[in-house]
Amino acid sequence: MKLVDLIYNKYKIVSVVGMSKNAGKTVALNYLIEKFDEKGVVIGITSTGRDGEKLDVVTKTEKPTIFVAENTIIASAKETLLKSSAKLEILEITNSRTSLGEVVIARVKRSGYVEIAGAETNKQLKQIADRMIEYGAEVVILDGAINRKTAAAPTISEATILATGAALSRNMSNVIEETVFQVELYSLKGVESKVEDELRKVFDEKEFIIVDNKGTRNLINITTTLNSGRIIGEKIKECSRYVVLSGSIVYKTFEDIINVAENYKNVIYIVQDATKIFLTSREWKMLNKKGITIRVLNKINLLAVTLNPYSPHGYNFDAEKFLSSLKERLPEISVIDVMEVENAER
Amino acid sequence: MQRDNNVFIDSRTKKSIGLDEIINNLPTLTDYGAIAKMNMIPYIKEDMGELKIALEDLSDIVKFAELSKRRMNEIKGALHIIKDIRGSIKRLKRREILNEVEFFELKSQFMEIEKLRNLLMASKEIYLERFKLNSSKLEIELLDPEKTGTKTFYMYDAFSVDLSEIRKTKSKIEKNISIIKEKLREEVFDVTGLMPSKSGEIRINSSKKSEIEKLKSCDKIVLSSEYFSALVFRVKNNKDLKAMINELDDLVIQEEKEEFKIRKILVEKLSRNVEKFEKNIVAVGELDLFIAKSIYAMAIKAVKPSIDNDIFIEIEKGRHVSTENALKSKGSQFTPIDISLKKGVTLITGANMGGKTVNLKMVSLIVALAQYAMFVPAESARIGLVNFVYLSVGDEQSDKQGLSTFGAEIFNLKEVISKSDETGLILIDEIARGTNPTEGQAIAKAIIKYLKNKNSVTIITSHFDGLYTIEGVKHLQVKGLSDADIAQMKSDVLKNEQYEVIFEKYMDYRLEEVKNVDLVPRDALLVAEIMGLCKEIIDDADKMK
Repeated sequence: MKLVDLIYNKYKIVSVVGMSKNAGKTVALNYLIEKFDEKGVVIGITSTGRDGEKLDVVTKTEKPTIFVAENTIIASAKETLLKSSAKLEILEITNSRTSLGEVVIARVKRSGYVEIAGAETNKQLKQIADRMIEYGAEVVILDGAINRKTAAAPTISEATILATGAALSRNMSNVIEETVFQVELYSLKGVESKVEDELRKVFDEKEFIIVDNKGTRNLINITTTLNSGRIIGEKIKECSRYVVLSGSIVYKTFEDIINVAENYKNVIYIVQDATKIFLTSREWKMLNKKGITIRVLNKINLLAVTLNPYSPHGYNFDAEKFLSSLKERLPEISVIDVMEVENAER
Repeated sequence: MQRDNNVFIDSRTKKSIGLDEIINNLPTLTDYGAIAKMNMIPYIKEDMGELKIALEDLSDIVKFAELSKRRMNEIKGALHIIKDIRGSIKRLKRREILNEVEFFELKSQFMEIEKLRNLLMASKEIYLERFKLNSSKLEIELLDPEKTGTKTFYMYDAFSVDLSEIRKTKSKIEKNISIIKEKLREEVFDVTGLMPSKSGEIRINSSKKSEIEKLKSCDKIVLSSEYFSALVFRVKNNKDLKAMINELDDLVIQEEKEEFKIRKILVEKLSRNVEKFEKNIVAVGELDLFIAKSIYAMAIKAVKPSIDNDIFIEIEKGRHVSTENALKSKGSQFTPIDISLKKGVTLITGANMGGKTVNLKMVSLIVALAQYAMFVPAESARIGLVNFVYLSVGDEQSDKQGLSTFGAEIFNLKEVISKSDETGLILIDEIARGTNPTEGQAIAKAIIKYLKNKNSVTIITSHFDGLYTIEGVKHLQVKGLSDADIAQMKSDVLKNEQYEVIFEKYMDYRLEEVKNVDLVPRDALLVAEIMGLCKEIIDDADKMK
């Protein structure tokens, strides 16, 4: 099935997140924009932080700018918006402030190139996406900025597209391993539905609790998991069942828990969603081997993985081999080569 | 007298009587209202006329809010969306060339204020002088040349014939460019058998030698980049296409120039009326602030104070709202207090825990609220305007380091005594309590004698007996526990109820004027007894008093 058909009429807010910079996220984004335009679908585009720059400030490699068609709704910080070559009708100045000015919502009156730098917090991002729908966007695409996968958070977007590519590593099998790991994280199982509401409150309050087999909640008095692994570990008892961790988690947290908690294997660790997990694939494997079980409150709906076999560093993978290997490892998910796709879809 | 917030009432007193909190919590809806709130200045004696008008205006708003809820909600809705665009107005004043986002701000605010103006014109009873808004119809027309009627802004084609012509030509060329590009792609396909992508690229794996040869020999494409194991070719632009792209670039420059010209004209035209916009902003802020004051007045059941130039204060069933709320949350009730004060000194005596301090705060808050043109929490209030409010409660930290309670009291009194002829409200709680009773009483007596002939209203609370006999001083007494069921109170204490709750239940906080000094009741021993101080001590003390 074509990528646009996976989205259209099914999801209103879709995020595109990249495995790394230059992973082909902007190519994937432009591809989506073009396909929706051909279908006559009005889309909205915004991003987390700054993106769509002509020159990536980090690597100085050229990145494709976003070309937007007439009627597209965009939301971007004032300063970047005013640089657009597209002619825009200003619709609204939102309350989201960024270092580049307030985020402004505009409608494209004459097509052209734009730079998109959207709101910086998840809550604002969601509000802006909702406003864009009110202004007539049938699908809103959220462009997740470099190293910021939070746009995929299910509290913001209903579905996610993961962009991967040769830029990640010179070694193709490394890229495949990292991508499969990311997909595995995004496919983490959710919690039992009967405890969902109660857990949601815990995360809303940004609390850390341990629930025992009688359902009794035991508050852990910490504000972050960073450097608090020992404190958490010491509270894990034989009767403990769930350890609910607000905020982000890193490998050291688990290392410390394992060091002090005899019963660390007998509990299920629950995080808000997969975007809160900051682990490498190696660390992930180690934790799995040690018997750590992680579940999420909000599951991410991963629609497709797009790949770019070309690296801006001047090397490339065998496109066919790259595509077929990833497809083989990810049989459940659509895998699309955005560079070859035009010929393929002709 | 300088109209300065700190001269009228110092910031410590403002905080201590709860005025700060009330002002901060006035529910303004716009940034303009918040600014008006921050700049609120009290009216003093010489501003009586203006204050009367302001209170009358507030009264009109309150009546309107009560009678025309729906229309008031419409007005609030219209206010709510007005954003702070003073930055753009300032740039306009300096005749800086504004950008599209700034024109949007102006246009939408003009339309929002115009809407508010229409609503106000339909509500004559509150469309008062201070809220008068100038129409921005002409400015709206200027910024909406295509008469869209929407708040959005665009560099409309209709701004100039040139702009619309440039854009038409641009569109035509853009269309031709895409036709030619499409044709070139087809031509490449015919020659090489490979179709370039929409962006004009062909990517090919290095292993496909024969195709690469074919691509390399095709003069319609050029090798644009080489990867480790792939090549990228790009469709070459032909002469026609190059000329068109060149022309398009020129048109883009022309369009920008024309847009700049239009923006400049718009700024010139708009900047002529910038003072009008600034006046509107002030009026919106005033309206917002008055509505906020009316919301507060209705919420605490406040009344319009009547204002006078004489030196007196008359409050009927006055309340101190934050104390009232604190009591309510504990299930108790605040006893409203009647008090009538004249020029000179009023002495308040009576039981410990009899609410004397709260009464001082209540009086000063009511007077201050009235002079900030707000309604007051009472059933009625007649207030002779003062030029300053001074409250000494004695329990605050000393402003000057190293001064004791007594030292700090004297330090502050010194200043207030010096201006006691300038018409103020002077409230001193437990005068001179911080030193030995003999000298303390003497100082208190002398201060009272000094202040009783001054042009101020003074209230002094004290436990000193020797002050009752000063002539020309009004003496009020807290009724206290004189009618309370003491046996019941003692049994409540035994039931381990909280002392403050018990006293709140039995204490009569009302004030009555003392005519016969011999009948002044003393409650200190009684209070000590109820609270359970040992009987031996109570009896002994009783014998000695």
